[in-house]
Amino acid sequence: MKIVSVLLGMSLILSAEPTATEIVQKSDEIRNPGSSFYQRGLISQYKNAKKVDSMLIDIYSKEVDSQFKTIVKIIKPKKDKNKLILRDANSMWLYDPNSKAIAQMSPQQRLMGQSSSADVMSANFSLDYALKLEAIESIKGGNRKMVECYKISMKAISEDVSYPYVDYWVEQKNFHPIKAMFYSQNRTLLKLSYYRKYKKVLGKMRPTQVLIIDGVDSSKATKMEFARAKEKFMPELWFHKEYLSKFQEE
Amino acid sequence: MRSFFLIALTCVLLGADEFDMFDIVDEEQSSFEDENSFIDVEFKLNYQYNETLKSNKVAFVNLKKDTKEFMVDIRLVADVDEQHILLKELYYKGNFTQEQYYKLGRMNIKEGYAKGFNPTDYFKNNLSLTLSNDPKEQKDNRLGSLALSYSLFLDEFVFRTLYSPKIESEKNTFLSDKSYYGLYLDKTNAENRASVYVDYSGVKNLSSSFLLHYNDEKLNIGLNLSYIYSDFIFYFESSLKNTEELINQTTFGFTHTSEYNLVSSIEYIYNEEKESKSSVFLTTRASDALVNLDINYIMWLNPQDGSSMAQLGFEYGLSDSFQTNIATSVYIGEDSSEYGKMPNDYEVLLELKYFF
Repeated sequence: MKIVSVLLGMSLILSAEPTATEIVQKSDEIRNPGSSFYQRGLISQYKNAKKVDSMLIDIYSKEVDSQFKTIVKIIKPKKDKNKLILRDANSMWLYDPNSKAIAQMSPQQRLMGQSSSADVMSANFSLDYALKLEAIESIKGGNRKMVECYKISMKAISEDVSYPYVDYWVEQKNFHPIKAMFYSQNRTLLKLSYYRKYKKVLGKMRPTQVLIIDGVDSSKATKMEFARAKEKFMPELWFHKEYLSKFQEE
Repeated sequence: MRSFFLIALTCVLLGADEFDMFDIVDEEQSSFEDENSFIDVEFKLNYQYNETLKSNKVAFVNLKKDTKEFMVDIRLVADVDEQHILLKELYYKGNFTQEQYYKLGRMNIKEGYAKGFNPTDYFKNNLSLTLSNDPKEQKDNRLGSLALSYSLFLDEFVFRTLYSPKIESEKNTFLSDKSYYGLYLDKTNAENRASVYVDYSGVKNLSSSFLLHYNDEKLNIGLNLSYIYSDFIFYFESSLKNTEELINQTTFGFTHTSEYNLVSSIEYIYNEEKESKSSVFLTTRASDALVNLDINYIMWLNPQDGSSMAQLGFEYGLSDSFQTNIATSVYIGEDSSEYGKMPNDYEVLLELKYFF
């Protein structure tokens, strides 16, 4: 009888809450700073508590038909300067200005450290995954404080995603993304991410840092920081692979 | 009970690592500034060692400027015996409308989705400027051809046309190989060439390019297809050349990206040369296999005579500006076989690169 009461209580609490889709949609709006925007990214790779490498990139994203098309331009290191990566749905292309070659690449291919190319690309989780609200629980967030979160389990329904399963924690009071754990097809933990350093960006409080920790070796980590976000008009033409050889920021 | 404590202890330790990482990454001051240099300069020193040549030292300085309007890429080559200033690329970029673009000048024109051999890369015979056996390096480092290109973007379609004229020149002239500053246009523009390309990307996960290429009074029909499925990218590239007899060259294969960032491709090449030679090409690359270390392996195999060439390379970034590469190639096979008859059994290439 006691168990039935607890379950009934839980279901009442859950029914008063927004749905998993609403929660993830709202957190998508926070993770993605706009529908057509530019921002600069700094990716730093850490191993055994030491910074071992870094990469500076410019990111151009445009929302088309509810999903994002993105161009990443590498600024540093110098050996990769001006290389471009284009993502349009599941197709990802690398343009090398030295060779003028456009080569198709996998979204899983790592950009640096634990961050794949897909990690720096904007995406709407709510469209790519089947979502289930698992629980409301307190977890330690990116500032080490305990945060009351919705725990959402996500299972890929789109081929356009890099991670088949994700556990995702979204802050209950404001829908801020707090933490995500990314799994492979066989449910091996690939990496976990903390969304940190919330600042006001383009009218909303948004995470300006994502810390990715390797799922197997926690001494390996990658910090992705974002700055200089601004809304920017971008013609759709930019996001055609044949245009990459002509791409220059207007 | 003991195992419970062990698991708990592991969790506590893992948890500590995870959150300690916050302090570690927060210690660092982040700079989002880039260094705007007027021109990109790369210094490269190559040292090649093999049995017959014994040693070969070549120094390169690449000067490059790429803007919205123009592109210039000059290479200074200093060999033991001779020196050259090579104008690798120099072209103007213009547009008629937002959807219509053109380029005029000397440019490196490349086509094809395959990794080893590209049947539709009709400019592949241009002078190569590298000592490396890696096909990617060879494609990256060659003299451009004088050409005019035009592109029209229409939704999922892109139409491209190209004309590259024949340039005849006497030996020892500025247009050919005079002194250290000859342009070698007699080599890069040895024939009249014209191409029409139609690219289509309207089918999800599939990219396609159809092309007609005319050169030296011969018509070539080319097709490139690339399809992404899960961690695999499948590609197909084919060219049909209309000479006295129809010659078909085809490459097909796939690229796989593993969870551990190992990117591998294997492809079969049908009719690589006129004498119906077929090849198998394999390449695998482990980026950041160790910190700042990339490992690269390539292999060419001739299935008819069983001979092969394999190259293992290591690329290590000493800093943001300084990179070292070492690659060792071995040739295996009977003396009469394709790779066995090469003058060397092995080669070592050491490369130092500095980016200013």
